[in-house]
Order: sequence, then structure tokens, then C-alpha cells
Amino acid sequence: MARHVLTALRDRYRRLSLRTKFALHITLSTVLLFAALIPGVLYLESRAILDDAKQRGLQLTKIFAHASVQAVVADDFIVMRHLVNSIGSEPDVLYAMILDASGRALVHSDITQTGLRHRDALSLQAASTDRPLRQDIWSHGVPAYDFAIPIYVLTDQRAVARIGLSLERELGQIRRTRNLILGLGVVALLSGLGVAAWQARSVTRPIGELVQGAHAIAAGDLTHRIPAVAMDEVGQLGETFNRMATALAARIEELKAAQIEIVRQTRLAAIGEIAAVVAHEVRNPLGALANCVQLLRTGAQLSGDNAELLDIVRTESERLNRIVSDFLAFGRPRPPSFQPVDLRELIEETWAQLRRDERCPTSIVFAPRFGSDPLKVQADPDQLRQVFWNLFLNAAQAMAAGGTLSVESRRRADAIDIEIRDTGAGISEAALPRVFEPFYTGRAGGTGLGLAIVRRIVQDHGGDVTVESWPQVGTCFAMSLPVELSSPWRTGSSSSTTSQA
Amino acid sequence: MAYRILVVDDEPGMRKSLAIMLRREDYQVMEASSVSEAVGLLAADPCSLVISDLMMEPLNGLDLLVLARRRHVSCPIIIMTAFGTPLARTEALQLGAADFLEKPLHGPNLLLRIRELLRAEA
Repeated sequence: MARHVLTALRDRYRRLSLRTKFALHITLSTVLLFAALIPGVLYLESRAILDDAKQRGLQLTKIFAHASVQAVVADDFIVMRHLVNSIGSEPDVLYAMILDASGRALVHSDITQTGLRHRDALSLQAASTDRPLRQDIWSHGVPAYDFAIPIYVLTDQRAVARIGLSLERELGQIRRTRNLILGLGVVALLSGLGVAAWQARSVTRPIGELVQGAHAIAAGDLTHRIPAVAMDEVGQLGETFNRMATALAARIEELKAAQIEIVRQTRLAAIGEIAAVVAHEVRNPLGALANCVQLLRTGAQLSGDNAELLDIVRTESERLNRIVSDFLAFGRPRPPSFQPVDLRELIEETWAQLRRDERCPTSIVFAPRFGSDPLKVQADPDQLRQVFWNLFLNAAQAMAAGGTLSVESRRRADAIDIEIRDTGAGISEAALPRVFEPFYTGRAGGTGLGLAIVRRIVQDHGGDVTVESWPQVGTCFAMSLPVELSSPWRTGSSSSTTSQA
Repeated sequence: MAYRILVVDDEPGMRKSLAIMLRREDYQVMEASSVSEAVGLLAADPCSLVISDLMMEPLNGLDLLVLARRRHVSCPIIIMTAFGTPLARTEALQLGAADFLEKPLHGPNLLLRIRELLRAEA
């Protein structure tokens, strides 16, 4: 049963707001402190007051007894009367009397009591005492002390001096002290509560703001920030919270960008795959066509336009074959087969080959600057040839009216940088960021795959390629290729060739 | 008198084969590999008909239509394209193209269309 009540209380306590708990704790501890202190203080204070009364009563009675000795010896009632009157008129003294051994009042401050024998237990006790005696009595509903001191003549106890001392004044003093302490306690409790409420507010308000902020962020508002108020732990928590929100927003932006990139890559891969399938199918009829043209050219003596027509068929089927090859290279990239390659030889060979191509203007100056460093890398020579071919052809086509194609190499510790620069028409600012995108072409008749293939091959080799361009001045492709392998293909089928490195 | 036809295309294969086909039909044929070259030829010698590709750089077939009309060339202009959209077709016809044909062209049909247009002109 008690256990159920406890559980219910604990449950209710848990549901209290922080502010209420704070105020509750401070109130409880103040109340407990006062509950522990006040009774002790009150007890000590009243004992001190009562001790004073006891001391005073005893002193008064002693003086009374001493003063009375002479009169008792002489049986002098006038003096005794005088003494009783003067002691009885002292403040708080209820009565004063001198009793003889039988309990009869020789004198009494109340004149009507003089000569009467007091037979009540208190009086008998007082009359028979042989040492100073104090008894607690009630007089007209008020507590009082009854003091009795025997009066000796030599060793003979002749009488007892007795006075009653009212405690009314002391009780009033004790009551006032109690009220004062309780009043102070209430004031302290109330001001403590006020301070507790204010403190609780100043602590819980920022926490409330934190809670609101957390709700806002959970609801998706990542721009929500906690206002900076204090530099204490709560303020630091708010600051940390704000940093968390900023980091979260950045992370979500990154994720969004990554997702967009994944979608783009997936779409491109799908397009590439379709393109590769179509290209593969187109290759067979194209092969047959090229074969027939070859046979017609060598077998039959064609005249005039017929020869020209056949030449058109040949050129166009070669062009088709190139488009198909580009699609295949992009859609179904072949893993590179690595071997030591001398870039200088490869570049010069590729240029020599391109110069014989009808698409290359004859008025282009080729200006290689290789320096004296060896330019050997681990690479797939066929794929790198394709890279340089595509870049050189682009440059040549940008310089239809002639120009300079310069190639410059620089050897670094672990990589070789190559810059390919033309003095052609340049690429517009709008098109520049997109030139490496597949199917993006700035030239009529292009597939838009040339530079996409370049980038893919260079990246497959663990390198990178960037472009800069100035309209009407020229374009520069900067490529870096690692000397040693660090590409994902390393563990692939070509590992036997890479192990020579 | 032989009709004079101007063939405009930046793709040499297409341009040359069209020219050979038309010459075999006894037309007098001129070739231009760009719009500006075509405009120059049109200014020098009047033509009976123009066949032009749509997608060319820097000026395209639609530019040719505008330039020709501006220079009061009144002969019919046929626009052909490998990548025709309904929008491009409407635009070409609004700019005064006599016809809008999609590649690959069917030779006999093209010749038929040319004859019709030349007869209507006469």
C-alpha cells in the first residue's frame, strides 16, 4: 500500500516542470532547516529566561531569609511584617511569608492569611525543607515558582522564608521570542521562495528555449538558432546547440549534393549502357559497309562523281565508326592494362598520327617543351593515346585558321603535370564548367563524349584534368598523372603488369 | 534554261552527295558550307531554289531565311534537318520556308518536291 503511494508520488514528481522541482527543493530544504533549528533555539532561549527567573527568585528569597533571621530570633512581628510587605511588593512576587516549623504563617503578605496554618502538600513540603527548595506551581492559571529557604538560628531551624514568583512576564517574553523567530522564519521562507522562483526562471527559461529549438530543428527548421543570453553552462549548451544545427544543415546540404550526384551518375551510367548496346549493334552493319566500299574502290574503275560518291560513303562510314567507338569507350570502359609508358614518345606519336588526319588544319604549329626529366609513367598506352588524340583534335578544330599547339611537361616528386595549350577560339564562360560532362558539345557534329572520355581515363589512372579558357585567346587543359599506380584497377586483372613497377 | 539550285550544308558528305544527285537531274548546282557563304552567292547570282540544312554554326538555316527575305531573295527555300522538332518546323514555315524536310532524305521524293516548287514558281 505504502509502496503504491510512493510509486505514484515518484511518478507525479517526474512529471513536474524543472522550475517547479527547483522551487520545491529550495522550499523543502528551507522548511527542513527551520524545523530543525527553531525548536532548539526556542528551547535554549526559554531555558535561559526561566533560569534567570529561578536565579532572581532564589536571590530574593535568600535576601528575605537573611533579613528575617534577626526578627525571627526576636519574634519581632513589626519587622517581619515590614519585610514581608517590602518583598511582597517586588515585581512578579505573588506572595511572601514566613512559616514556622508547623506550617503556620508567622507573617504573610496577604494580611488575611497571617496566623493561618497551611496544610496543603506544597506548604508542608516547604515548611519541612532543610535546604533551599523550588517548586513549580500554578497560580490563577499562570505558572509560577514557589521558593522556600529555611531560617536557621545557629543550627536550629526556626522558620522558612517563602515567596511565590509569577512567571507571567517570562512566559510573555518567551512567547514574543517564539513569535519573532517564527516570523523571521516565515520571512526567510518567503524570500527564499522568491529567490528560488527567480533562479528557477533564469535557469529554466534558456532550457525552455533549447527545448523549443530542438522541436523546431526536429520539425525541419535548420535555420533556428538559440539566442545567446549567458556565458554559463546553459549558455554554452545553447552555443553548442547552434553549432550542431549549423553542422547538421551543412551535412544535409552535402547529402543532398551527394544524392544529386548519385542520381546523375546513375542516369549517365544507364545512358552510357544503352549507347554502348546500340553502338555495338551498329558496328556489324558498319563493318560490312566499310568492307564493301573497300572492295568497290579497289575492284571497279569509277569515274567522276561515282568516285566522289564512294569517297563520301567511305568518309561518312569512318565518321560513324568513330562515333560508335566513342560511345563504346564511354559506355563500356575497358579496365586499363598498365605498363611503363614514355609520355614524350606517346605524345609525339599521337601528334604525328593526327597531323595526317583530314580534320587537322595544316597550318598548326606543334610546340612541345618536355625538359630533360624522364617522363615515364605506369599507364595504359592505348587509353593515354586516346586522351591526347581527343585533346589535340579539340585544339586543332578550335584553330581552323591555324595557331600553335604547345605541350609542356613538369616532373614532380610522384606525378607528371602536362599542359596542353591552344591559341584557338576558346570556350565560353557558360560552357566551361560543363565541357567534361558527357553528351555536352559546343561543336556541331560532335558526340559530346571526347572530353568525358578524357576525364574518365585520366581519373582511372589516378590523375586529374582541369581546363581554363579565355575566349579568342585560347584554351589550356592541365593534367596530372601519378608516376606510380594508385588507381582502383591496381588489384584487378592487370596486376601482373603493375608488379614490374 | 537550266534551273540554278543552291545547296547549303556544313557537312561536306551531305552537301556533295546532294549536289551530285541534282546535277544528274541536269540542274545547275552551287554549294555553300555556311550561311554567310550562301548569302554571298545569292547576292552574286540569282537562284531558282535553295536547299539548306537547319543546324549550322555560327548562323543556322533560320538565319538564312531571315537574311534572304531581307535581301529580297524570293526563290523557294527548303529547310532540312537531322533533328526536327515540331517547334522548329513551325518556326521555319513562319519565316517563309517552302518546306521542312527531315533527314535521311528520300532522293526521289526530294526531286519530286523540287520539281513541284519550280513549276509553281514558273
